[in-house]
Amino acid sequence: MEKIKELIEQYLREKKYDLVINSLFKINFEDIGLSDTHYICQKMDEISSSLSLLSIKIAFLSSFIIDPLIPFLKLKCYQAGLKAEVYVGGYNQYHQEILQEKSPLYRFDPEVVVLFLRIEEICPVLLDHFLQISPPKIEENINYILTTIRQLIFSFRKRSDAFLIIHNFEKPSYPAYGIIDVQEEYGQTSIFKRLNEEVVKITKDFKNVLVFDYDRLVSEHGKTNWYDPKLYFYAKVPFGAKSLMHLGNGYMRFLKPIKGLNKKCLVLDLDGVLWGGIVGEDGLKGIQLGDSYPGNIYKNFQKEILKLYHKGIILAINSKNNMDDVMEVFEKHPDMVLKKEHFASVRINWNDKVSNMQEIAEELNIGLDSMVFIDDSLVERELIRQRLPSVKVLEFPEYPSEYTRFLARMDDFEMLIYSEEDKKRGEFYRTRILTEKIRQSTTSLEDFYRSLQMKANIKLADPAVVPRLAQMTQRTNQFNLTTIRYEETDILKLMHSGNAKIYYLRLIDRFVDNGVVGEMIILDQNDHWHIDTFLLSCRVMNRSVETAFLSYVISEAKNSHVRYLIGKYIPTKKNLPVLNFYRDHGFELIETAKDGSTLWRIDIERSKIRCPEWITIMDEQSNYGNGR
Amino acid sequence: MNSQIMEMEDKIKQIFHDLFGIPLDKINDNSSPSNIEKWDSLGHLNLVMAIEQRFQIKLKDQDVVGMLNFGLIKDILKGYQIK
Repeated sequence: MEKIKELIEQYLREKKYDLVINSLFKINFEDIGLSDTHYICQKMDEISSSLSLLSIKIAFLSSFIIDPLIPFLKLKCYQAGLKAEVYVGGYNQYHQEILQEKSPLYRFDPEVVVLFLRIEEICPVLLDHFLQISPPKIEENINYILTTIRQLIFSFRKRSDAFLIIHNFEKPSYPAYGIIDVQEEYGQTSIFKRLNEEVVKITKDFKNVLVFDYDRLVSEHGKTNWYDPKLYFYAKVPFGAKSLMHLGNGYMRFLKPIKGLNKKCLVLDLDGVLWGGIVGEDGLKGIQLGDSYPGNIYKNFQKEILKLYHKGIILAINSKNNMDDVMEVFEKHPDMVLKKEHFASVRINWNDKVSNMQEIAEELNIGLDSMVFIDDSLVERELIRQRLPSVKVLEFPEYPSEYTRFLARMDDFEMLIYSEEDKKRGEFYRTRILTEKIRQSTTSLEDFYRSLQMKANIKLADPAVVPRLAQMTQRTNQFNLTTIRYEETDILKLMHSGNAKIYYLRLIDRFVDNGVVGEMIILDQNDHWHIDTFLLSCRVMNRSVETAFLSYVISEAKNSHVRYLIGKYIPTKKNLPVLNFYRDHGFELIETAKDGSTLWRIDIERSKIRCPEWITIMDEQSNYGNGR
Repeated sequence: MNSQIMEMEDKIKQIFHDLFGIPLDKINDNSSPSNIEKWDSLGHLNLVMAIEQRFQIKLKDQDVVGMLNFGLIKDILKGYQIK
C-alpha cells in the first residue's frame, strides 16, 4: 500500500494524471485502510478536473449516518473512471427529501438515488419488542413499513426519473425465538423473509427501481464482522471500517451497468489459469485438472467461467502455446468444462499478447475497454496494462484456490436486465464457428456462399453510423486498400464537403446480422471517382462481399455518368490479402510509386464486375443527413 | 522502547494528515477539534476506525470518548499492545 501511495505521489508531482488512475487498479481493495482511502480520494478530488472522467450524481437517503462510506465509494468510482458527485440527505430526512417537491434532493438532480432504511430506525418494535406483540400487531407493522415504502417510491417516481436503488432488510443474527424461530409462523425469520419479498414485489410496479440485496451482502462477509457494537452505540453507524469498502463494491455493481461501464468479454490465458502446469511441457496427462486436489481448483474455476458465458459474457483466449497441444486438451481431456465452442475468439500462438489482444477486439468487433484480461504471469499483465491501458487487467490472487471466489466477486459483469439476447450471445458467436464448419463441409466455394444466404444492405453514410465508420478506418488492417485512419470529425467533414460519397455495407446472413462491416469513401473528381478508402471487416472476408460492394458502387458511378473509377493500393504489413484486389477485378495499372503503392483504373462502361448471384443487395437509401 | 513510541507517534500523525489534511509538522500534542477544522463528530468516528485499523487493536469503550487531543491519543495508545 505504501508503494502505491508513493507511486501516486510521484505521478502527481510529474502531473502524469492518467497514470494515477492506472495505478489505482493496483490497490487491493481488500487491504486498503480508511486513512489511505481518505488520502487518495482527496488527491483524486484535487486533480479530477484535469482528467477526462465520466461523471455521476448519486444521492443517499438513509435512516442513519452513512457519511463514512462516501470516500470509499468515490475512490471505487475513480477507479472505474467515474467522478462521483455525492449528495447525502439529512440524517433520517428521507421523507421530507422525497415528498417535498423542491427538496435539496431534487435540486441536486441525481442520476441515482440510494434509499437505505433499517428496521432498527423505521420500525424498532419488530426488533425490540417482538415477543410482546401479537400476530395482528406484527401484520400491522409490516403493513406500515410496506405502505411507507410504496408511498416513497411512488412520490419519488412522480418527481424524478433517476434510478432508485432500495436496500432490503438485514435479517437478525439472533432471531427472537432462538433455534425454533426458523420454524415459527410468526418468527422473526419468516417475517423478515416476507418483508424482503414484499419489497421486491413493490419495486416491480415501478420503472428503474432496483433492489440492493443488503442482507446477502452482510451475510457474505459475516454479520458478526460487519459492524462494531461500540461504534454503533457511539454514532449509530451500522458498519465497521472494513465493511465500508464492501458496501462501496456493492454499489459499484449497480453503477457500472447504469453507466454502461460493465465489461463484455473475458480474455483468458491457459497455462496456470484454466489448468495447472504447462501443457507444452507437462503434456495432456501432466496438467492439473480433475476432481482431486489441486486439479479440482482449476475445474471449479472453469465452472465459474462457464457461468459467465451463460450470462452472456463473451469468452476469448490469448495464450502463448502450440495450437496442437491446446487442441489436444480441448478434445481429449475428460475434465475440461470449457469447450472450444465456448470461445468466440482464440489466439493461441507465440505472438506478443498485445497484438493478439487487439486482434481479438477487432475480430469480435468490441472495444478494448470492454475487455477483462486474466493471466497468471505478472510480466504479461504489466505489458497489457502499459500498452493497452483501456483493457482491465486483473491483479489476480497469488494462489489458484482463490481464483473462483475472486472472479465471483468481480463487479464488472453485472447487468440490469437479463435478456433473451444475453442468453444467446454465446450462440451468436458460435454460429460464426459454424459458418467455418459449413465452409469445410460444402463441396464448392460457391455452394458455401449460397448456403450463407447473404444480404448486403448498402447505404450512404448518415450521422448515426459515423462513429462506427471512423472506428473501422482505425481498426481494419487486413482488408484495407489504403489504411487511412479517420476520426469521427474527419468523417463528418467529408460527409459535408459535398464532393465525397461515403458508402457503408451491412451484411446479414442466414445465421446473424453481422452489422456494419464494409466502408467505401469515394472522392468525386468530375470525370472520375477516386476510391480513397475501401475496407471490409475481417470477419466477413473471403465471402465475395467486396465484389458485391464494388459492383454496387460501379452502378452508382454509371448513374452519375462518371467515366472512370480509380483505386489506390498502399501496401502495409497487414494488407497483403488485398494486394491483387484491383487487378483481379479488371482494373488496369496506371502508376507504381516509389513506396510501392499502385494506382488502378477501370472504365465504367467496360467494367465486367457483377454482383455475385449469391448476394442480394438491398439499397433503400436513408435520407442523407437526416439521422436514421 | 523510545523508538517504538516515536514510530507510533509518526503513524498517528500520518493518520491525522490523511484524514484531516494537515501537514505533518503542524501536528502537536495540543492538536484537537478546536484547532482542526475537519475533526468534527464524523471526523472523530473516522479517526477511531483508522486508529483501530492501523494499529490492529480494538479500543476500549471509554477510550473512544477520551481521545480529546493528539497528546491524549498518544497516552491512550501506550496502554495497548501495539504492532
